[in-house]
Amino acid sequence: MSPTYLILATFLACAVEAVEALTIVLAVGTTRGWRWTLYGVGAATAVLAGLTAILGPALTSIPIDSLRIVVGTLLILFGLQWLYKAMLRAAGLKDKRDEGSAYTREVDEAERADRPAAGKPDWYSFTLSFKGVLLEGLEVVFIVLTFGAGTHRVGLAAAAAAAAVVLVVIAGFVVRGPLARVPENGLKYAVGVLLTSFGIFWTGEGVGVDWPGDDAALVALIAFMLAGSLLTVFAARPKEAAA
Amino acid sequence: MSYLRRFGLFWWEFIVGDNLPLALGAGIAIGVTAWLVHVGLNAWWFLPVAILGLLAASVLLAARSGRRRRRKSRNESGHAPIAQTAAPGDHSS
Repeated sequence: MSPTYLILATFLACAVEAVEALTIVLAVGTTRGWRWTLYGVGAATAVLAGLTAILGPALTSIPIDSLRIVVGTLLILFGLQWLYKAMLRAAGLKDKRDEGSAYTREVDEAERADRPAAGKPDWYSFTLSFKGVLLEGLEVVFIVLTFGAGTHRVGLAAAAAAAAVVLVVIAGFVVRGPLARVPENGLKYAVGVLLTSFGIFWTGEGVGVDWPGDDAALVALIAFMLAGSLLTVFAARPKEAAA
Repeated sequence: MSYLRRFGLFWWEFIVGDNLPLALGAGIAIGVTAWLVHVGLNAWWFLPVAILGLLAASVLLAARSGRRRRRKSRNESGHAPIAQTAAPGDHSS
C-alpha cells in the first residue's frame, strides 16, 4: 500500500490535535509564564513518546490478520466518533469549535486561578499544559499506532505526526496566537472519512474479504464514505440553515 | 468514584465514545461480515454499506431530535433559538 495515505492521515489528524493543544499551551504560557507550562508540555511529550516506543513494536509483533481486525475495528470506532461529530457540525446541529473563543476562555480561567508564591512551582500551569498535550496527544498516538501497525510503518507514521506538530508550533510562533484560521472542522471531517475508510478496509482484509481491485478499493471506499456522508449532511441540515 | 473506574471510563469514552448504538452497530456489522465470509460469500460490499447506513441513521436521528427541540423552543418563546444546540453524543472534540 502506498505510504501517501498513511502520511496524509496521520499528518492531518496530528495537525488538528496540535492546533487544539497549542491553544491551551499558548493561553497558559502567555498568562502565567512559560517555565512551568513548558515543563508540562515536556512531561506530556515524554509520556506520549514512551507509549509509542513501547506499544509500537508490541503491536507489530501480532500476526497480520489478527492485527488488521483489531486495528481496523478500533479505527472504525474512532473514525465514526470523528466523522459523526464533524457531520453534526457541518449540518449545523452542533457548534463548531472556535480556537479564538477557546483561547479567550482558557486565558480567563488561567488569570482567575491562584498564583504560586515567588520561587514556588506553578502546578496550575504544569497540570493544565500537561493534561492538554497528553489528552490531545493520546488521539495522535492512537492514530500513529493503528495506522503504523496496520502497514508496519510505525516510524513513518510517527515522523508524519512529528512534522505536523513542528509545523503547527512554527505557525503558532509566527502568528503569536491561536490558529483560529485553520479550517479545523473541515480537517476533522477529512480525518474522520480517512480513519473510517481505512478501518473498513483493514477489518475486511482481516476477516478474509477479497477487495475488488485490491489496494485500489481503498480509494473507492474513501470516495464512497465522503459522498455518502455529504449527502447525509445535506439531508440533515435544518431547512432554515440550508435556505 | 474509584481510580480504576475512572480509568476504565476514560478508555471507554476514548474508544467507544458517547454514541453507544453507533459503536454497537459497527461491531455487529463486522461480525456479520466475518460470518458471511465464513459461509463462503465474498461480502466486500456489506461493511461499507452497513457503516455508512449506521452513520447516516445516527445523524438523521440527531437532526430530527434537534428539529423537535427547536420547534418546542419556538412554541415556548415565540422565536427560534440562535445557538445550535446539542444532539445526542455531542460533547468534546
